[in-house]
Amino acid sequence: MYRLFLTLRYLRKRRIAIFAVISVWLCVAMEVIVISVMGGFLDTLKERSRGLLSDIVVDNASLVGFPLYQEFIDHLNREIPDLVAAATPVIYNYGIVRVGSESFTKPVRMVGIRLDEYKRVNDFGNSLFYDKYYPGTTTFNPQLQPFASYSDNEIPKLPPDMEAAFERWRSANPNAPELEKWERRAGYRFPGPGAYESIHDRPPGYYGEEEDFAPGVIAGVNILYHRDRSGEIVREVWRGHQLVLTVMPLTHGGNLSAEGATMSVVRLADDSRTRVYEIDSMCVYIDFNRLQEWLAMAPAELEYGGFTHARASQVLVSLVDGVDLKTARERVELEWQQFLLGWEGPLTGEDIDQLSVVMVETWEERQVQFIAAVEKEKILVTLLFGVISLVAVVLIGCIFWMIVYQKTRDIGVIKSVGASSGGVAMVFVGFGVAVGVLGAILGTTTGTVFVWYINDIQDFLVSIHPQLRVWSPDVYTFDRIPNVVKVPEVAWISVVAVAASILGALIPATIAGRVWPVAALRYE
Amino acid sequence: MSSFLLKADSIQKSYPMGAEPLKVLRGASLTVRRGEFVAIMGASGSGKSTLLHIVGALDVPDAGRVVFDGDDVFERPTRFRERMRCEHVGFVFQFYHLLPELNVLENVLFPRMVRKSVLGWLGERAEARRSACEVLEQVQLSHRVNHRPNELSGGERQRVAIARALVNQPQLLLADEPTGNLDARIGKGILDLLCGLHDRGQTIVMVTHDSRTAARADRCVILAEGRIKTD
Repeated sequence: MYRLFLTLRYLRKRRIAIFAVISVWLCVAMEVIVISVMGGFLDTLKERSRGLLSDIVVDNASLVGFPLYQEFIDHLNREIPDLVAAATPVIYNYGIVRVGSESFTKPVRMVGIRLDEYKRVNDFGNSLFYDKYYPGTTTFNPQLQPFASYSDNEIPKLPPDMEAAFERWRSANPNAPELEKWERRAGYRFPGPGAYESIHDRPPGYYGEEEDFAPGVIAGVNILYHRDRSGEIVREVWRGHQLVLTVMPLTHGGNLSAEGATMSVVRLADDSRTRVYEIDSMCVYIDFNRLQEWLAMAPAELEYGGFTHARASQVLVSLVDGVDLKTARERVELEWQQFLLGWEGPLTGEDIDQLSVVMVETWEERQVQFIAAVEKEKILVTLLFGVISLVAVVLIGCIFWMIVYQKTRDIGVIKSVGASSGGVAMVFVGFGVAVGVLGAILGTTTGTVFVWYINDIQDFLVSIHPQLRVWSPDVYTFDRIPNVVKVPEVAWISVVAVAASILGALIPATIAGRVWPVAALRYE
Repeated sequence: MSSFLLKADSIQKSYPMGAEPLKVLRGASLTVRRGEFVAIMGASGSGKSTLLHIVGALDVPDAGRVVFDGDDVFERPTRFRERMRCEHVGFVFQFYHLLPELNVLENVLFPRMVRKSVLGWLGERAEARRSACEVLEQVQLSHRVNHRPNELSGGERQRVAIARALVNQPQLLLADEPTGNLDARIGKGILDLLCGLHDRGQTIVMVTHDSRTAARADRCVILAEGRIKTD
């Protein structure tokens, strides 16, 4: 009983023990924050990688792409319909975007997709802003700019098809919290969702001549917009606004085409926020066939006779639910080989070159290097902070040493009333446990609350001064700091903290246990 | 049952002191009967406290034996000596040696906690508290139970130390210069208290260098040159 009694009493009365508790507290909080943020970073990376690629990726890692993609998709649908849920081709290339008449230009990654199919093979559909609030209105088809205007009672209105689409979303989400900020008021501008240019002398609608029709594109949210101080995205470019895209087609052989760059006017149909900064700040999505044509990847007759096949950069395959990823990948690879062996149509030398380097990979294999690097980074950072946490062990050791030194005479007294050496040592080990448990509880609480509110803290800092932003999406890929705390990891950190505190207390406790009572009683 | 509670026989003890060990006890022998009040006198550094510590199993002799209530103390395991210090022997030190983080009542209760588990203590707490209060009443400190040692006078601290030594109703009370740190008036009060305990049957061995203090004991022995000269 005296062990527990003295442990609790020393914890209360020996103020120096507070420093030991604080050191454990800070170390635990630091580890919880580091592991949660790094772990969240890793988990988000994996989740997004899968969500933005697809289960299986077929490509040859070349801007020139590879032919027979559609034939292979048809082959898959025909041969393994029990495995393949959907498959779609994608084209990747690079270009330049310019906003309408402004001189703002930016290099971008052009992504040619079949919108409906692309939404089926990954989570892209969930990243679209206008498609969420105005379902069914996002299209790559040639279009005019939609204008908002005022009704007879001065309430701002959108074109009827937009209003109908928004009404569909609103009736499906009657309690959505964002509805409050979009309440329309007479005489005020259209409040959202989204940004629409207003027109005053005509009713809401689409205005323009035949030549004003331009294909729709979807831009990554960070290409055209910025965030305000509160972290809200500010949509400065109207929906339907004109953009100018410049792409540089490559020849079938992989050289820059002699015809030079292709410049095309398009309209902003939607914006995509995948939350992966590299994608949201780089990718402009456009209709697959249109980009294929602009990049000279469409089928064409050759000058010296014959023709080239249409090419795509990638085929994304999503699998039926419950199918094992590795098994499916092996099967798709097998189907690819059988497809090539069974192909009887004409192929040029370049076609064969391009087809021979096509690889079939799972989304994990595709990202393995990056994910493995982040995993290693997480382990390394955890270890580094663990080493720093050893300081806490040393500090506890020093503090307990001092306490034992100060309490030498008391130890003699305790032994004089019959306490054993082991019992005295256990007082200090118990003290270590108490310091560890208290520090772990405080550290876990602080770390968890900090991680939960980490984005709010950053937003607050940014509101004071933009340079106080500690998590730059340019550097860390994601636009928000991961803020999920995993209970098993926190439990492990707490256990290690208590163990470390016991370790720190062990040597002083052993010394205390070995104190010879007579020597201690003579101690002044 | 033997009439001797304590018998120390040919105790030798030396301490390392430079090249030559300092021989403090050179065959000291002492016998204490039950209910006896024995004073050990001697010059400063004569080994009085060392002998007291050895007979109380706080220290180990180099040679010789100590028999307490029929048991050869240093032939028995360490656990026996720990139990002996807890249950059968009470120590009173010159400098009180109270635990500063504990109040008066807790200091007195502390020896009761030593050999108890948490559950055992919960079952016995009320009884322990009652007997601690009784002992504190005996030493006239009932009104100071919640005070900390630093809020007490020297005499009060020594009374608390005596109460702590008595709380387990030990067979033997060992007092090492109990009045050595107190003025004459307070010292006399402490001595009166010890005499009162002795009158009620308590066996006491007291170390002192003051002949007037020693005169209050039943018997006085002199320790000189490492041996008991008068017994």
